[in-house]
Amino acid sequence: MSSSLVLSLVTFVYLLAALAYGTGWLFRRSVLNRCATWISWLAVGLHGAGMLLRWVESYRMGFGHAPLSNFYESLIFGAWSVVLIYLLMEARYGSRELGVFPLSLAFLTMAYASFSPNVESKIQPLIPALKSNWLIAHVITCFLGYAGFAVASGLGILYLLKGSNQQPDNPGSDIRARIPSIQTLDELMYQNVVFGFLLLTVGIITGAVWANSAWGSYWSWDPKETWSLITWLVYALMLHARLVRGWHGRRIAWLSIIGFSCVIFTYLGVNFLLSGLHSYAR
Amino acid sequence: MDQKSTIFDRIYQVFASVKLSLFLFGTLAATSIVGTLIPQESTVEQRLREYGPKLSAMIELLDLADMYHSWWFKVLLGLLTVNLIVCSLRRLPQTLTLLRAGNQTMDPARLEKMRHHGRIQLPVPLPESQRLLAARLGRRYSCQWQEREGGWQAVAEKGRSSRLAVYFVHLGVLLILGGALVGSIFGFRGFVTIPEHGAADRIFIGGKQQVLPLGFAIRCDKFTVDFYETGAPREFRSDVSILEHGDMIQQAAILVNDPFTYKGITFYQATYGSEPSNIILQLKDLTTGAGRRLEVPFRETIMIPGTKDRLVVMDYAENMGNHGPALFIAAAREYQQPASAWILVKQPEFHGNRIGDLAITVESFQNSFYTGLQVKKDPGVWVIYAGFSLMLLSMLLALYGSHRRLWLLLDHASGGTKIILGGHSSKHQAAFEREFTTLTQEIADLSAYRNTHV
Repeated sequence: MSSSLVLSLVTFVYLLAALAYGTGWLFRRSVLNRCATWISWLAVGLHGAGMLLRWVESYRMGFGHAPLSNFYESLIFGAWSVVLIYLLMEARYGSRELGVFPLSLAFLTMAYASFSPNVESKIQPLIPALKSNWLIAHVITCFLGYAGFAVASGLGILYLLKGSNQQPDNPGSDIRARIPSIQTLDELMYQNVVFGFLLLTVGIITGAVWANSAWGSYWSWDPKETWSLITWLVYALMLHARLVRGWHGRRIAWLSIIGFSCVIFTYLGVNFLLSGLHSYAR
Repeated sequence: MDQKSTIFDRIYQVFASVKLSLFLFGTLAATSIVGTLIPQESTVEQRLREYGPKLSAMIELLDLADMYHSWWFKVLLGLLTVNLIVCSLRRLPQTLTLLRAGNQTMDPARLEKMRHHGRIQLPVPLPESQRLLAARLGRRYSCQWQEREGGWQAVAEKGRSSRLAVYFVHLGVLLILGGALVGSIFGFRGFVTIPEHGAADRIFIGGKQQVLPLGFAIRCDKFTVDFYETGAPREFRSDVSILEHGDMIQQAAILVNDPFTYKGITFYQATYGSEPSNIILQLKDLTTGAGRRLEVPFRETIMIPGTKDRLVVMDYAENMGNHGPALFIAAAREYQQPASAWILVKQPEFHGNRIGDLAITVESFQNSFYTGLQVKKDPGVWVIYAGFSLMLLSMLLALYGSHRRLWLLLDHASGGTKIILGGHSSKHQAAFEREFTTLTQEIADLSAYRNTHV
């Protein structure tokens, strides 16, 4: 069984989990939600095994390297990180109502990675500049951080949905009533952003150390670097606003959505929209 | 004088405010976007073509084509630095006061007003309760016990450093900015190409604008590049020797991701290429019929011996218009205009293999590699790395640590000891709530512990 087959299969397991979370939420069936959790853990396990298998395959091809080196592999690892971070949060805080968002995101990412003709999924040998342990640390920490931000922005959207309708009458029939309390959302948003911020900081630092050993420059203001700094500044603003100025709720929700838009732009926008302008865009 | 101090005060107030920090974070983030949309380090002509005269004039005015080094971006960074220093210095004394606080005399009413508080009755005499509690709390908290009239009081705490961590995060940021400044003042970035078996004792800085002597020579003993089966490069490697006054001091290999440093100057494998060497030419003057065989170096002007004619091999093409390799040669002959031509190596009979009446055939040449090395000196890097480490470690502590404190009052009561305790945590209230509840339960169970184990 090849790794790409396993990973394509995982895509559909994510779809199943997302559907289970979604219907469990809509029709208030906690049994479905519990099933969704189990399916998600299964998918994460399979997904991890798929990535390991890809690693082994690369060694069989004679130029082994961790599966963290090209766009396809980053999508795969990113999707895995989002679901893992979500499941850890779910295990800790025990609310299953949010699962449909990260699982849908994981499904869409995996589907794009596995089936889009624009994404090259072949295992390729590493060019000399990419042969560095710093690169592995860089990719892992960045994507775990991105995953934290992704979950936080999902919580931000829920917060705004919930907050926009505060009518006390007929709470039961409204789907919004099944969103966790705004205090919980606020707290979880903060926790995820703190996690993401720490990991993004490690990611930027390991990237700088890698660049310094590969090209002799720890920072060169290329668009990718600059956008990662922009992202970092947005979250730094958010943390200072919350911890020192006491910002809560809607403002934090909006900032976590803006922050994740910056993440998306750093990851995808720079590659697809800015590449034409910059000869040095990688 | 009064007026002056108010202005100073106002400026101080502005710099001491976190509002300014939020504003600067936002402004730096927003303006940084501009530099990713406008190509940096483009030429004036490119910008005129791309943006037209009006927009180009604006780009010139605000230095948007090199905006991360523009005066206004540096001003923003400078403001953030001052803001960070003033904010930290203003808040530090408050934090230190907070850390010292809590050791004042306690009264039960104050403790019971705390968010986390409890009251426990232990069926154990006061001195023994104190001993048991001290032993139990001492495992996880640092405690200060004090005997007072009719009983004991204690402050137990942990995670004090988390309150100070934020200042170390800021210090880390300052180290990073300082390291960047040190690098820009005392460092340089340059480039050098060295042919195989050749040596270089100077490098070029800023696109060949400026030559910098190294103080030693670096010789390329061997350059190797090898490829995967797919044709993608696997590894670039330069084996080099360091020479001082002609003596070989050290040998090293420079690979991508594995640079080599000598006397604070670091060499990075950047590019490579090939160029001809050991070029042997046959020259024939078509007017006089005089012939000559000559070895010439690449890109170095030589005098043709016995004449006043000069000659230089200026360029090399691997495949000239599908006629194979060719050399571009220029000659300046006495009493003639300088002229040049591409000389085809594999077709010596080609009628164009001549410059004026000087016919040239390339008898032989070798193709040899040259290596392109990025050269850098940056004494600020270690300051920056120290800043990275300090920032990361203290960020972990600042965001995940919390300063947790317990105040306890032990009083003699009929049949045992009355304990009142209050708790406070600087962060993570939910987690502290759990810890406090568990602890209260443990204290209540202390008597059982005594009965079974003591």
